[in-house]
Amino acid sequence: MSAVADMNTEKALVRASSLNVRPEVWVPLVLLIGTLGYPFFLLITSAFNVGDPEVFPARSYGFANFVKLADHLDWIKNTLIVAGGGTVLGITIGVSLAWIIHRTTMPGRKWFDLLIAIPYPLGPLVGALAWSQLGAPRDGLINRFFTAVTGIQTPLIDIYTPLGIIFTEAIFEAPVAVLIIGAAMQRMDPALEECSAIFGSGKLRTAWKVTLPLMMPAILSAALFMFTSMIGSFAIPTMLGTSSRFYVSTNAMYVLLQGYPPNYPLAAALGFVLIAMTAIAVWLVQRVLRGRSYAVISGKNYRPRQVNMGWLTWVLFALTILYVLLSLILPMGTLLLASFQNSNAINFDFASWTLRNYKYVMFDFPTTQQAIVNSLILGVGTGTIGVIFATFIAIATHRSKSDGRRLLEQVTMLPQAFPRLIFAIGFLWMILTLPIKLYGTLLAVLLAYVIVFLPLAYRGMSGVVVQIDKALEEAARVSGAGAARIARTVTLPLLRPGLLATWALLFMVSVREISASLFLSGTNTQVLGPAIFSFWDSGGMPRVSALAVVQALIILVALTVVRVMANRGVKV
Amino acid sequence: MMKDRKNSGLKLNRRQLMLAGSAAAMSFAMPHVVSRAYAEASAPGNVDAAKAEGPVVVWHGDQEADVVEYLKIFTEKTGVPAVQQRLLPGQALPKLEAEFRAGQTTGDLYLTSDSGIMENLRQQNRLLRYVPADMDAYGPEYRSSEPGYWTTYYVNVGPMMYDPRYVQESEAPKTWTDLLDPKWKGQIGFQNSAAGTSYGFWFVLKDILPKDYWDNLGANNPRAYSSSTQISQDIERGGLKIGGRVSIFQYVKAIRHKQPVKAVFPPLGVPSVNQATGIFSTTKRPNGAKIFTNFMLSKEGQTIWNNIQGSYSARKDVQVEYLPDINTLKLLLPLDFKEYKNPENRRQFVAVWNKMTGL
Amino acid sequence: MLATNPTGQNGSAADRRGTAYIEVRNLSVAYGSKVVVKNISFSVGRGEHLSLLGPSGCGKSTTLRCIAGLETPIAGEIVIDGIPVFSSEKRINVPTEKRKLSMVFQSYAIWPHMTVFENVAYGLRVQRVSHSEVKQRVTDTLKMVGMEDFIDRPATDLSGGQQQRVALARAYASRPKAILLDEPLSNLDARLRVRMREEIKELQHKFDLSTIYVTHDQEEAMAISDRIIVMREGNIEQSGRPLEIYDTPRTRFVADFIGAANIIAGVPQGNSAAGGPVVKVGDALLECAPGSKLHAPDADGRHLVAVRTVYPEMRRAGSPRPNQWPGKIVRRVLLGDIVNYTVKWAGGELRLHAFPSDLFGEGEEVQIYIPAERAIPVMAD
Repeated sequence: MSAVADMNTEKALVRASSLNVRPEVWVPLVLLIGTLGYPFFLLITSAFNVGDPEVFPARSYGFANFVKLADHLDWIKNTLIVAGGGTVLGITIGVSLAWIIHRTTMPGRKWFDLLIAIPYPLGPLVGALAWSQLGAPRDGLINRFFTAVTGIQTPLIDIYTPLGIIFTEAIFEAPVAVLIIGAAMQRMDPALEECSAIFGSGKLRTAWKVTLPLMMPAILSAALFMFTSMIGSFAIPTMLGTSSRFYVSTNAMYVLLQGYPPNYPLAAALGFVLIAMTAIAVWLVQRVLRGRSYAVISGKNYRPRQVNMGWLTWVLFALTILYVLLSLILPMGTLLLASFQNSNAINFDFASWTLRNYKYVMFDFPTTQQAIVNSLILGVGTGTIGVIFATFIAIATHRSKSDGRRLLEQVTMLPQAFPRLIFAIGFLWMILTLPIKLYGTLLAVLLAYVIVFLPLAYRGMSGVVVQIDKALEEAARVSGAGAARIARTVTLPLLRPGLLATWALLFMVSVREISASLFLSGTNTQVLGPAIFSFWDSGGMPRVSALAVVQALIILVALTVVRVMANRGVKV
Repeated sequence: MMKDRKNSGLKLNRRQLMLAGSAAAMSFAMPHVVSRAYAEASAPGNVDAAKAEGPVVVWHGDQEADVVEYLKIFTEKTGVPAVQQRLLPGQALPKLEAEFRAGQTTGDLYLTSDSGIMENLRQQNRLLRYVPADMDAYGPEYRSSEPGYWTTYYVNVGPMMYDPRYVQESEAPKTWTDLLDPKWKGQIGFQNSAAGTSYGFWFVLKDILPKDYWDNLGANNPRAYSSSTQISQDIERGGLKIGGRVSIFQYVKAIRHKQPVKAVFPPLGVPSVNQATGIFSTTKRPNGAKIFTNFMLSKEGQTIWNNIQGSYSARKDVQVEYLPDINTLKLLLPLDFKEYKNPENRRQFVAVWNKMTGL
Repeated sequence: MLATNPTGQNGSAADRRGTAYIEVRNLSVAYGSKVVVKNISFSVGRGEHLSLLGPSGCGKSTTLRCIAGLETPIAGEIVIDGIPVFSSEKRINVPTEKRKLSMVFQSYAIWPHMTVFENVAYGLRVQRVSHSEVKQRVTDTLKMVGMEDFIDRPATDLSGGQQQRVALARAYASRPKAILLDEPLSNLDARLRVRMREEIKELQHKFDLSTIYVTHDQEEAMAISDRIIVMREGNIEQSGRPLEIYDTPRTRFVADFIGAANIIAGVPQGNSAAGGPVVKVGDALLECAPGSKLHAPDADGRHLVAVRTVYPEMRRAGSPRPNQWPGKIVRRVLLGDIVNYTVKWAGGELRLHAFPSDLFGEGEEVQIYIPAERAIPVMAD
């Protein structure tokens, strides 16, 4: 090559490396940074506010709030105990169930796959409510049953303890782990395990020494998701911990903010610490996962190897049934029972059972009626807008040639570092300071939901977009189709199954949400989560249980519809 | 300058004359002005105008079911529609801030257990003054010092409570000091520091009980609940032995449910708070708000409301079943509003109460 | 260059149409700061079939995708049918969808959610061809690839080879100006690959379109190309007709890459009587092709000469003459149609391909003869 040619290439190289950020990247980037950054900024200014707590933005700054936090380190310690313990337990359950369902020959696997997925969208609020009636030391159903059978007076379990909280958190978050780890297990190259078998490793040993380590990236990913979720968990600690003097950051924050005057700065400082903890967790996991070659998941579709565990299969079967019992059958059964009662205590006198509570929550009591309607609207809205937005970003990050794509992806996933309760507070302050009349509207709640659930939506859509061979779109381009036509005739039809699944997921999580809407919903904008919570505060067990059952039914219907549509073969 | 001073002693300064004149004029006019303001404040709401205004919005911290039931009857009787929203102060106040700044409130009436908050609102000129027809039925301790800004729509008396199925009557506490007995460790329930009634409890007892009472009580690990309904529920289910302070209507409701509960009214005094009702000055529905207030404070309204809830009215002519005669009780109400509103006291309360309940 | 141009290749077609249909000038492409195509230039004539051949990472696919418009070069010019579609200097960059080309992808890129008909008709519908004509053209092209029975089947019903045929049909149906094929056969098994190769060649005959074909398989390139460009690390190593490249490789890389060759390193020893350079290899003197010249030596100071494994002749006996030496068969591998011999000779070890009709045994003493015109001096790396 001639020297002149070399120089020309060099010059061209310099020219080409200038920054080129296209609108499909910077527009969502700016929007997201605005709607995340502004609340965060308000939170920070409040956390450092040492003057009048109700002045926005603060006028005098200092570290006094953090110093005060040092007196309450047990809040943070308890948060870590619950989140850490819950994650360990949840991952153990998740890995075991994922392995049992996807890698063994246990009978009924398909059914269990379905049943195990249900507790998650039902949600921690419903779960806490149910378990408070199952595991209360005196009159919890399990303890009553135990005493009736054995005659022993001391209760078998006490759900109002840190262990009880960890347990409840774990069983209701485990389905996510099963999903993430299960997906990885299905794509694993069976040759890796077969090799272990050839060298004489027994089945359990292979599972422990080969399968498990290879699943590490998926396990870590699921663990991170669980951990960050549990750090910000509100419903379970509040319902099971507060009355037994056990405070984690979220229920402590709740009391701080309910009083008069509300202690915004301390709550914000606490929130800040939570965000920092979450961010550290995310960073740690990313570091561990980076640079490890886990070449188990390739583009090829493997038929995963099913292992016949022999007589152990029945043990596994029992374990799986136990999980379904604890996470679905017992809780829903208890809520049903409680919803038919006339008084706060559950009795089995069939004659006294009534449907009155359902009539009350669905027809007589305007607040709950409204809450049901609003939650449905919100669910549809969150699903639709969330999916559209997430798809747009997914296509931009995976197909655009612009610079800044990785930044966009990271910013999109950023909301998962904000415990939802805290983000909602910052969001509330943000809309209070905005000139637009957003405050007190359902739209405000909708926007908050779209943002907090964006990582979930993006994760779903990005997974689907990545699977679409780029060549399919390139072939359309070469055939003469412009961007709009390609989107309409190639991209969107191929995305359809993913669109549906993601929409359904968003619908369900938004119906069961409480943390993000607790402070945002108002007179005309009551939604189910806060309504159930407020009802729990003042309404009596039978009615709360009825409302919780209604919420659960909505979610179950959505889940069923999606499954049916998926099974009827929505074309790939 | 020099000239003026020389002359000032001899003639009446024009300015002084004018001032004297207007002062004289004012001293004649003042009562007239005052009574005119009073007269305006007493003008009742117009029913037709109220109906045109749309449903009047009531913010409260009470039992939602009770308020809904009451509003239904209210609408039946007056023809004015109404909706409610249950908001604890922590949620209500930021809303109020924003709305006042915008000059419009979505809420029309505020019903709260914290008369200190009401006083603050009055000082900030955020309450509309309306003197209902029955103002005289309310003693001065049950209303704002200048009548018409806020009035007590029920007296939230706070006894102790227990269920004799789980606690022997002979063993049950009779006085506040009995709560310090270690046999109640971990078995006493209060509402958390966010509750106005908790503040009231501490405020009236802090100067009567020894200074170290709260630390000692804290050593007994009392549990904090977010509502007295929960305390009552836990007592019924056997999960809590003593309600350190419950709202009186919990007691009445429990009895109505055939629960064998007992309430304890210590002779030293039973902390009580005024549950106050007031109208926001920026209300869009002044007519509806006035009609609501008028009805709520009337004998009919008070009878209906307190019977629904099971609580004491501030009026002497309202009776509710199962309530012990109010004359046999020594009620401790916060009377020094200046101290009651004082943010220093509040801060101290929050610190003491949180420490006591393990937050 | 060899004067003879054996028939059987499409060389005559390219000769007939000399005008360049697609021209690439000074093309450079970079990914980030890494330059992957370094200032190359070439052209494709009307109706000519050109292959870009090379190992993975040499930049051949990148070049093809630049011509298609799916990647953007950092410098250079691309002209199709006289119209510049890319020029870094004049800041021209015609988008892919307007370049009127067709492309066949390595993964076939058959849209799974459409039927075979809809796949082939896609480009025609974009061009707003009338419905009846769409039907006609689709049916015709499917017939040409033997897939007319599948016309209404969903694309997911098709096997790999069938998908490839439909991809071809789709490429031809839209009557493009030129066709680009990006390793279209690499995902097929060997037998199918050979068969599809023939079909592609036939179609190319029929439609007489300029074709650029990217592959790493030299056998494939040899079989179907009018001209081959061998690429390596972003540069063009050699360009020419298949037999030309085969018989007279310019560099060691080309010699090694196309077919099998012995690379012999030696020291210059003047010229032969026939007028070609002579190298001393070990104890032997090797006369090279008359008229050729030794290239610059390699890092060890020796000059390289390439001898294709099919050209040395092996006899049981023979009288001494230049370029003939005694040798001993060290190893013999029977590959079925061919026999692989490794022969020890004065210059080292020589690899030979011969037929099984006349088998020599391991350890046999033989005479090796290398025709001088088959000893081609090549450039070192």
